[in-house]
Amino acid sequence: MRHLLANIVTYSIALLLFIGAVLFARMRSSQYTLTYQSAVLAAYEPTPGGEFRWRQIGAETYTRNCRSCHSADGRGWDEYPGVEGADSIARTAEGRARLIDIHIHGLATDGSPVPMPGMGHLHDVEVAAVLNHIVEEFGTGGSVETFTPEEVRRRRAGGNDSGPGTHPAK
Amino acid sequence: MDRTISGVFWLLLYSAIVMVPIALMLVPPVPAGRAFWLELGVALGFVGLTQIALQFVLIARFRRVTAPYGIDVVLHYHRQIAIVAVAAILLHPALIIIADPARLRLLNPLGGNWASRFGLLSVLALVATILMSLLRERFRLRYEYWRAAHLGLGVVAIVAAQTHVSLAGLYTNTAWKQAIWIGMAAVMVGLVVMLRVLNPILQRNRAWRVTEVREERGDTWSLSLAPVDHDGLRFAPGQFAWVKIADTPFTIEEHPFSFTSSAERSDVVVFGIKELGDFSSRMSRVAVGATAFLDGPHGAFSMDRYQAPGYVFIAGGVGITPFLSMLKTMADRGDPRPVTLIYADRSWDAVAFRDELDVLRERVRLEITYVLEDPPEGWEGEEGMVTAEVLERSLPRDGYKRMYLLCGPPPMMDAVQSALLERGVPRRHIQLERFALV
Repeated sequence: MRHLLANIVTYSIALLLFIGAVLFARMRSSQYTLTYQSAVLAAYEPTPGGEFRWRQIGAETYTRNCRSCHSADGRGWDEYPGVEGADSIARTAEGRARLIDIHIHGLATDGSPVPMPGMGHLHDVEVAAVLNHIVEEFGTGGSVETFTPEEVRRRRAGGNDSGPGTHPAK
Repeated sequence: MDRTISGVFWLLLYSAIVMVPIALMLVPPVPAGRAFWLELGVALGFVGLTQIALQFVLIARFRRVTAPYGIDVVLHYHRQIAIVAVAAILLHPALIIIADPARLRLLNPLGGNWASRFGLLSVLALVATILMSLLRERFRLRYEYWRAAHLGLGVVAIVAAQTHVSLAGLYTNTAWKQAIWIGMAAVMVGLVVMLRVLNPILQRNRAWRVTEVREERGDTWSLSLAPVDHDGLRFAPGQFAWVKIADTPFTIEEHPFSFTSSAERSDVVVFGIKELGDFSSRMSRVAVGATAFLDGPHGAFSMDRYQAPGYVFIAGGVGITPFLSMLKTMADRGDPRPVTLIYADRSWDAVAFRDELDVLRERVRLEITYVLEDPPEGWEGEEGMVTAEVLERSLPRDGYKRMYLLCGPPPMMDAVQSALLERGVPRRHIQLERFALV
């Protein structure tokens, strides 16, 4: 009797584990949770002629998605590269396109043992904001044109010349 | 009823703890959600780690936690759920690599980074632990070596897994989340220290002395121990204890044996030990006066727990030991309830304790049926296995509900249990002792 109950409990707990994991994945992948939702982010879209208020979103997006590898001061650690040089890349049109591509599609190179995961699940507002955050917080100074959600959107939609697998990093 | 309540309480607490990591992962700040399969892989890693951590609680022999179920059931659960947990943990890297095959390079210990290397180390330690346990008997690995390796690899696995989580850091992105996870791993390592260092320190003040080592029939030994400067221990008839025979309680060599003495006596306890290899085959070399240490009593297989107006005990081989304790206790208590004992063994010469059982027949309302696989010439009793026909001939025909207690080799218990169920004995009146603990 005890052993029968024990088996039932074992199978129930095993089931509970997997159901819990599936529910978690479902919530996270649907962006149900306490992270930014598209509706909230859309409110940060710059109105025509208006200013893109990216500072808060940029800092938070960096904390949530980038900091564990690139570290709080942007210098990286262990095998993870720093992101200090981003502002110099962001001064040319190709450089800007490449930065956006790396964020959306990720990056794997022979030079680094750890691939950068694609961040295509981030909202355009988040990608633009975090790029501005990196350029301003960790850059060497000097002015760089602000990244806008519109620029990211154009790159995502029309970037046929450098889709996944063909972007300049490879 | 108390037992049911505490049993349900610990189970609910366990189920809640199992879900804690998932709740914790949803507390902000959280990384933006990613693709379903990738997040599933991450979640499986976390629930798998929590399960592995909880195994340390299960093996720590907390009597309050294990008593409602019996420690044999807890260890049975441990063996099964550990395999489920390792399956979840193996799916974790698999799904993450499928989500982005570029991550394959993380599997190379020379590539990747420290986070992936510790993850790899943890998985290897877990797989080695499981394989060693599943194949221990096939490769005749000595119990003590297996046990030390099992514990050592378990600690390596959880420390490496925790380092992996802390370094990867995606879902442990605040100091307090890091603290909770590191704290959990530290507590689990602490439990091992408790079990292997603190418990022995406490046992040191409760030493026992070997007062008699007697050879019984059928390669079985009776080991008698008397407490040294303490009041001994109280147990319920049918329970067992982990026994160490050594000058120091810090030995890794430790085995579970059933008490065979009366639970009404605390001046001396006796264990019944069958020579099966390893430790038990060295019984003949144990000297009177040697020091011993006990961890117990443990186990839920006792007539005191399953009250009934009468009992049927069905024993196979050394499975007689818990019943011997129950019968002696009944004799000391003047318990008037009737007992039918069906005792199966290889041959008449191998039937351990049959002289003692003869004496007990005078003091307890006891009917004994011996079932011999290989009976001597002129044997008129039952032979072969404990079959439905043997049960038909030997079971009492009284009108009240007896409790059936079974202890013996697993195939025998399974066969007897199905025969009893077929006879219409309700399942809750059948209790089994699965003493293959390890």
